[in-house]
Amino acid sequence: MGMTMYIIRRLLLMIPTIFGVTLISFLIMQLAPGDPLLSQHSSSQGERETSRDAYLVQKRALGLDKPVLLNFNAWRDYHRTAPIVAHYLGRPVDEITAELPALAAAAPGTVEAERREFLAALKIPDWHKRLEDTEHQPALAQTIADFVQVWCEDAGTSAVPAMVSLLDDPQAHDLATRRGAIRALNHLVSEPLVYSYSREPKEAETAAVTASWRLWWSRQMQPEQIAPERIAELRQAFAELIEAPSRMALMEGLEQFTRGDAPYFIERLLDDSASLAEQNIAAIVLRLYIGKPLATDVAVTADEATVAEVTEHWQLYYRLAHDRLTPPLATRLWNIVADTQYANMVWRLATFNFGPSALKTREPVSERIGRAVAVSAPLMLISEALIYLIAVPLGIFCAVRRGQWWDRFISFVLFMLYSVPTFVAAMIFLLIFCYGTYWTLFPMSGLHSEGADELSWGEWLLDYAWHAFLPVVCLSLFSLASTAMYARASMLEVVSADYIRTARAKGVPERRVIWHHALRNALIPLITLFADFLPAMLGGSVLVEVLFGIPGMGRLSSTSIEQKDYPTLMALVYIDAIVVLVSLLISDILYCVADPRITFGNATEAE
Amino acid sequence: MRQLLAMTRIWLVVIELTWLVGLAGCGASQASNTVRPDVLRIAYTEEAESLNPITSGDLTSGLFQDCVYESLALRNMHDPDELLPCLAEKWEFDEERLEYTIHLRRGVMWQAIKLPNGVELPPRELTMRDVKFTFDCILNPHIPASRRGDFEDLQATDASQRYKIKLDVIDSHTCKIRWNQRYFLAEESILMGPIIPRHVFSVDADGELISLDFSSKEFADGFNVHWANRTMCGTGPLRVEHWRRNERLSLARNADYWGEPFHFKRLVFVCEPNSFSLLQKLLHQELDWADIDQKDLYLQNRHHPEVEAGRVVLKEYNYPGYRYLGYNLRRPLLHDKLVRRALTQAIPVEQIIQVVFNGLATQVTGPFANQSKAYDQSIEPLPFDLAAARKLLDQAGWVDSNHNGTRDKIVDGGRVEAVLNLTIEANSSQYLSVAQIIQTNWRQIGVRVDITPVQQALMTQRMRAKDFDAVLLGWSLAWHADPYNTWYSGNAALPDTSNTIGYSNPEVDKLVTELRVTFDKKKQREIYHRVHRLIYDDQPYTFLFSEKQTCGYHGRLQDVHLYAVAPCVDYREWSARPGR
Repeated sequence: MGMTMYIIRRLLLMIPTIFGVTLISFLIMQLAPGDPLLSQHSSSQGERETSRDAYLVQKRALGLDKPVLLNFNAWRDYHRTAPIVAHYLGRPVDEITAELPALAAAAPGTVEAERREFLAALKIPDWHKRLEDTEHQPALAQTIADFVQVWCEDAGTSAVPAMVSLLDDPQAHDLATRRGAIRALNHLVSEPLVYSYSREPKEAETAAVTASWRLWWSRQMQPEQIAPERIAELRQAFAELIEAPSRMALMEGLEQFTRGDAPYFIERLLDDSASLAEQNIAAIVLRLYIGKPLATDVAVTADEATVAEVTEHWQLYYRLAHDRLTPPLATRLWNIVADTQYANMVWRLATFNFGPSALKTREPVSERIGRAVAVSAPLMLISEALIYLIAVPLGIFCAVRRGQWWDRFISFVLFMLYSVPTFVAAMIFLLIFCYGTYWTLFPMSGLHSEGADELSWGEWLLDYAWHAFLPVVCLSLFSLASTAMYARASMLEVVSADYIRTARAKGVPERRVIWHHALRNALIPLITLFADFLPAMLGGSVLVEVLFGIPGMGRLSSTSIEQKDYPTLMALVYIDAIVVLVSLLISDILYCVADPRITFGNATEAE
Repeated sequence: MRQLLAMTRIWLVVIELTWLVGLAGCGASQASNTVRPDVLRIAYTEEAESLNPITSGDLTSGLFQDCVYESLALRNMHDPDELLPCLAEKWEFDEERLEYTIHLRRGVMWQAIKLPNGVELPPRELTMRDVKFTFDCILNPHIPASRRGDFEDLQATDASQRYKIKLDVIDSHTCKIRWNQRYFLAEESILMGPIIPRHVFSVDADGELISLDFSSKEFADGFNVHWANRTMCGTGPLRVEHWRRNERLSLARNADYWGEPFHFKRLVFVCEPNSFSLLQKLLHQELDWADIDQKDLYLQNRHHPEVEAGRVVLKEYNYPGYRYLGYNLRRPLLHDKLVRRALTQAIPVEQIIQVVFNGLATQVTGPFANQSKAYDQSIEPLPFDLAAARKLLDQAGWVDSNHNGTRDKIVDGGRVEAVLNLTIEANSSQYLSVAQIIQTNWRQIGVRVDITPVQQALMTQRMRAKDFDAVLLGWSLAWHADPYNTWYSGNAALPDTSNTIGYSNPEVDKLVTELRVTFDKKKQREIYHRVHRLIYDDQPYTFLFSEKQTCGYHGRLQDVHLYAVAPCVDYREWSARPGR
C-alpha cells in the first residue's frame, strides 16, 4: 500500500515538474535571438528571400503568429488604433513621406501625436533618430508601412470588427483610410471568402459558399444563355461527376467544361433543393473555371467605386463570420491562456502528438525522434551493459585487493580514463585505428557498410559490431571509469563493516564473504547510477555521433538547435524530462527492493 | 619487474582483442567495403533541407535533385551563355520576347514511385499538365517556393499584376508562357527550373487528390507537408533508392531514361560531418568526390603519397561568388563615398588572402562572377595604402578633434565618433580573423571597430531591419546575375530584397533597369561593365575576394571538368577509367 501511494504521489508530482521543465525550456527558446523561419535565408545575390506571404504561411502553420504566453488580443481596444493602421496602409509611400515632418513636429493631443505614439510602440529601429533625419524619410515611410503590416499580422482576427467598422460609413472616413482598412483586413485574415467546400463537405459550409457565389452572380448583368443541347450535356456530365468513384476521377471529369457553362452550375449551387453532393460539385466547377471572383484587396491608388465594391465583400465576410469574430466572454477568457504558442505546445506534448517539425519537409517530429532513438538506443544499451559488466567486477576486484599493485594500477588507469574527454578519446581512436596513420582496423564513420542491406543477418550483425565498436568504447570509457571507482568505494565501505568482520571471524570463506554478504549491500549505492541509464540511452552523445557520423539522438538535438527546429527540440526536452523522472522513480523502487530497511511509508508507519 | 610484465601482458591482451574485433569486422565487411567500379560515392557535410525542388533552396538539396529532376532546358557548362534542350525539345519566342512557346519532348516518362501506403504509381508520360502544375505550385502564395521571386513583381500595387507570367496549355506537349513585361532573364527563368510530376504531388499519402484547385490554400497545406518531400520522382537519369537523413542518399540508374544513361550503376551521397574523416576517406579511396572545406587540411595533404601516386587528385577551382564588407549607407560615417574608399584602402586584402585563406582566393572589385563576361577585368583593386586612407578621411572632414584616438565629425550639430559595429557570422574562425585584421588596420587610420559575432538567424533579422553598421558576408552568384534586386535604389526600402545597405545611385538605377529589357549580349556586357565601374567608384561594399573551392576525387574518375558556373561539376559526364 505504502509503495503504491508513494508511486502515485511521485507520478502526480511529475506533472508540475514536467510543466516547469517545459515552461523554462520554452522561455529559453523564446529568448534565443533571431527568427526561426528567417534562418532559412537565401545567399544568392539577386534572388529574393521567401516572400512575406510564404513566410506568414510557415509562421501560421507552426503557430508562431500567436502571443507567447498570454493572449490579450481579444481584450484590446482596436477602435483607437484601427484608423491609424488604415491611415498608413491606404496611402502610397510618398504621401507617408510627406507627412513625416508634421509627424515629427506634432504637438501633444493632436491626431499626429497619437499616430506618432502608435508608431513609436512598434519598435522601429532607431525610430526617433530616423524621424528627425530628413534625408532618409522615404526609407522610413516604407519601414512604417512594413511594421504596420506586421502589427496586423500579430493582431490577427481580433482587430477585424474595428477595421470593418471603418468601412461601414463611407462619409465618416476618407477614401485612403477605407483603402487602408481593406488592406489591413487582408493582413488580419487570409482567404476570407469561401468559394468551395472543404475536402469533407459539411452542410454548415453551404451558407458561406452560396453567399459568395450569389453575390458574384448578382453582379453579372447579362449572363450568356446556354444552348438547350449543351444543358443536356451538362446535366449528363454533372450526374456522372456526382457518381465519380474517386477525387482523381472527379479531377479528370472536370476538364470537360468551359467558363461559359457557369450559369448552369450557379443554378445548381443556388438551388435550395440541391443535395450537398450536387452543391459541392457545382462549387468545385465554378471555383475552377471562374476562380476567386470577389476581390478582397485594393491597390493604394484604388478609386471610390472599387473600394465600395470590395467593402461589400468584406461586409459579407463579416456577416458570415460575426459569431466567430466576436466570441462570448467565457471564450475570450479561456483564450488568454489557451490561444498561445505555449498552450499549443503544451497540448501537443501532453497528447504526444508532436506535430510537424520546422524543417522544410515538415516531417513529423515523432518520426524523426523514432529514427534517431533506433540508432542511439542500441549503442547506448551495449555501452551501458559493458559499463556494468566490466566496471562492477573491476571495482570489487580493486576493493578486495586494496593497496596491492593491482589496485593501484587499475585505479591509475581508471583515473586516466576518467580524465580523458570523450571527444579526445574519439579523435585518438580515429587517428590510431581508422585513419591509417597507424592502423586501418575500423571504419571511420557510420554504422553500416555500403550495401549492408544485402548481407545475411549474421554478416550484418558483425558489420554493425565492427562499425559500432569504437563509438561504444568511446561512449563507455568515462562512465566505466566512474562506475568502477564508485563500485570500489562502495565495496570498501561495506567490507569494513562490523557484520563482514563478524562473518570473517566466524570463519566464513573469503569468497562467500565478498559475493554473498558484501556484494548485495555494495550494489545498493550503484542503483542510484541506474537513474542515468535510460536518459543516456535516449540522449545519445553529440560529439561521438558527429565524429563517427552516426545519425542518432545527439546529432538530432544539435541539428535541431542549429536549424531552430523548436517543435523537435521541445519534444526532445519533454521526452527527456519524462524519462529522467521515470528513471529516478525506478531507481527509488529498486533501492527499496534491494534494501528491505528502506520503506515507502512515512515515519509513523515505519515505526 | 613481475608487475611490469603483468601490466604489459594486460595491455597486449587489450590491443590483441581490439585487433581481433577489427580484423573480424574487416573480414566480414571486406566484400561490402571495397570499391565498386559501378558505384559513384560523393560526400556531403550538411543535410538537405528537403527533396522537394519547389521549396528547397540549399546547395545540398540542389545537388541531390539535379540527377533526378530535370528542367525544360540545361545550361551548356562549356559555354554558359547557351541553353540546351532538355525536357523541352525546342522553344521559340515572339519579336518582343514576351511570349514563349515551349514544345515538350515526347516519350519522356516519370519514374515509378510508391505511395507511403505501398501502392505503386506506375510510370507516366510527362505532359504539359506537369509543367502547368509546376508553375501553379510556384505561384501559389501559400507555398514557400524558392523561385517565386523570378515571377513576382515586388512593386506591383495591383494584385492582378503581382505575377509576371501566365501559362496557357495549348496541347499535351505545347504551352505558351506570356510575360507581362520584357525581361532579359525570362528565358532562363522559365526554362531552368525543375519540373515536378502532377500525379505524385497532387495526391496525399493514400493516393487521394489533395485539392482540385492547385492555387488554393487547401492544396498548399497538403503540398507543404507532402510525403514526396522526402523522396524524389523525376524524369532524370537516376532514381531514388533510399534517403536516410544525416546518413546517405542512394540513387540508382534509371533504366528507362530518355537520354544518355548515367555512367555508373549507382550514385551514393554519403553524409560525413567530420572533416578529418572526410579527407581520410578520400585518401583511402572510400569516396570518389568530396569538397574539402578546411583549406589547411587540403594544403597539408597536397603531397600525400596517394596524391603523389595519382590515386587521389586534389584540386582547387573557382566557385562563383564573393565575400564583401557591406556598409549601411544610412549611417552618417558610411554615407560619404570618400570614407568608404578610405576604409577599403585600409584593408589589406592580399594579406588576408595569404594569411587567412592560404592564397586560395582571388581579389575582386565588383559584384559579378569574376569568370563571367559581366565582370570588367580592366578594373584594378584599390591599393592598400593607410596614408592615402588617412588623407581621404581628412578630406571628408573626419579628424580626431578630441584627441581620443578616434576620428570624429560634427553631424547635424552633434559630434559623431568614427566607431563602427562590424557584424560577422558566429562559428566562423575565418570571418573572425578577417574582422580582426580589418579592426587592427582601421584603428591605425582612426576608425574604431567593435566586432559582433552573431548566429545566422539574428544576422538575417538585423539585415532585414537594416540594423547594422557594417557586415561581413558573402554572395553566391548566378552566371547571369540580375543586379536589380541588390543595387536598384527603389529596393532599399523594401523588406525582402538584397539591397539591405540602402545603396542609391540614379545612374546605376537607370542602367540596371535598362539591362532588364536588353537582349543583345554585347549591349548587356557593356551595361554590366558600366554598372561594375559605377559601383566600384561608390564602394558601397568593400569587395574582398572570391574564395577558391578545394576538392579531391578518386584517380579512377575520368572526364572530371570543373566549370565556372555553379554547381561547377556535372556528374553525368564522369566515368571510371577502364581497369580502375
